[in-house]
This record gives sequence, C-alpha cells and structure tokens, in this order.
Amino acid sequence: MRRLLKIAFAGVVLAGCGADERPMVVITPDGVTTEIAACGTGCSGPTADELHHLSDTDIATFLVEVDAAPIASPTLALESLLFYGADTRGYLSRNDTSAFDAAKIAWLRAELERDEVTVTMRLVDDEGEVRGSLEQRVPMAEKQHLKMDDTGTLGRLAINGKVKRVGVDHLWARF
Amino acid sequence: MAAGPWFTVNDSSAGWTDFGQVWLSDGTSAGEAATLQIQLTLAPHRAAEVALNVP
Repeated sequence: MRRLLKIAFAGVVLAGCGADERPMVVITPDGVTTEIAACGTGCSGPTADELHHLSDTDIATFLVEVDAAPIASPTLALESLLFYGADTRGYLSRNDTSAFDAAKIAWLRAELERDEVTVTMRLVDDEGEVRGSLEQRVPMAEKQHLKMDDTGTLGRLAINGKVKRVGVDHLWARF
Repeated sequence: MAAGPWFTVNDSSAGWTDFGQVWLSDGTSAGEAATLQIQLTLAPHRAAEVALNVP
C-alpha cells in the first residue's frame, strides 16, 4: 500500500517542528507549500487508548479469554490488552491474578514492559538507489523527531511521528 | 494539520515495508519521487537484554 506522505522536503535543510529549528516546510507534488505548525495535533496526536480507557470489567473478561487460549495467541482479547497497555498494567498491579495460568500472566506482564522500538527507515529513489537512511531506538508512543543526515545534496530530512504497539506482532506508525 | 492515518507494520522480520511516497524537490526543478521504506523492531524484553549482557 502506498500513500503520499505530506512530509517534507526542502532544498537545503529540512527541519522538524522542534522549537529550536525552522518550521518544517511541506511541498506536495501539486506544488502546494505549507509550513507545519502545532505538530502536537498532527502526527503525534493521541491514540485511542489515550482518549478512551478499557474498563476493569472488559480487562477481566479479556484475561479469561487469554487464559483459555494458547500462550501468545494473537486473539482480539490479547491484542486489546496490549493496545490498552497502561490500563492493563494498572489492572494487573491492583488485582489478584492467581486464578489464571501463572506463565501466561508472566508472559503478558513481560510483553507490557516492552516499551521501546527500533525504527529503521530508508529513502529509495525510482532507480533503486538508497538516498538516505536512519536507525534509531525510540520509546513507544512518544513523539519523535528523527533525522536522516546521509542524504547528500538533498539536505537533511526530518521525519516526525510516533509508533504504537497494537498487537502481538504489529505496530502502528504515523510519521 | 490533521492527524493522518496510522500505518500498520509487522514487527521486525517482515523486512522493508513501503511507507509512502516522498517528493524530492529543491524548489527549482520538477523534482523526483522516492519511496520511504520502514522496518520496526520491537525491543526485546529487558530481562533478555540483561541476560545477553552477562559475560
């Protein structure tokens, strides 16, 4: 799936929306140029789990389903608990889980502690040449300003956004 | 700027995923298209990392 990113590219230096840098300039293929302001409402905007919370009742129901399935099975119940990680962690810290399989609860607790992700990106032109790349380990679900510095004459590329865990093997990225 | 859609990426081993098309232009020419590719690798459990660092 491809979509047209409204990220930026300007001639010499690309800057993110950090206060110490120039405003990011976006040039879309149709020639429209826009300066991005208030990036806190854009790519770093809240995810559903920050706007709505999973109730204790729902968490308890999901835990029963997770307990009945093989460990690490990517069921809706398990992935909901991972997506609403903060709510799930809070529930596990407040409630007795001894009725559940200890190994499954231990696995779930460990998964909920995985709060960092390595983001690797590269920019490939239509001739297959890699024009820039970056690799950085970042905290999950926090806005990041990543920079691609090896872009030669293209100038530095700033890529801003964040990553959110949404399942056993899947993450969301919005940059 | 309105928040764009989230893009779902497999953890680690799936290799490169096309994230989107970026338009490269210095503002004086027509520019050229390029593809931004991404890989995301969920960090391992901290306990596993500690174990790996034990001599």
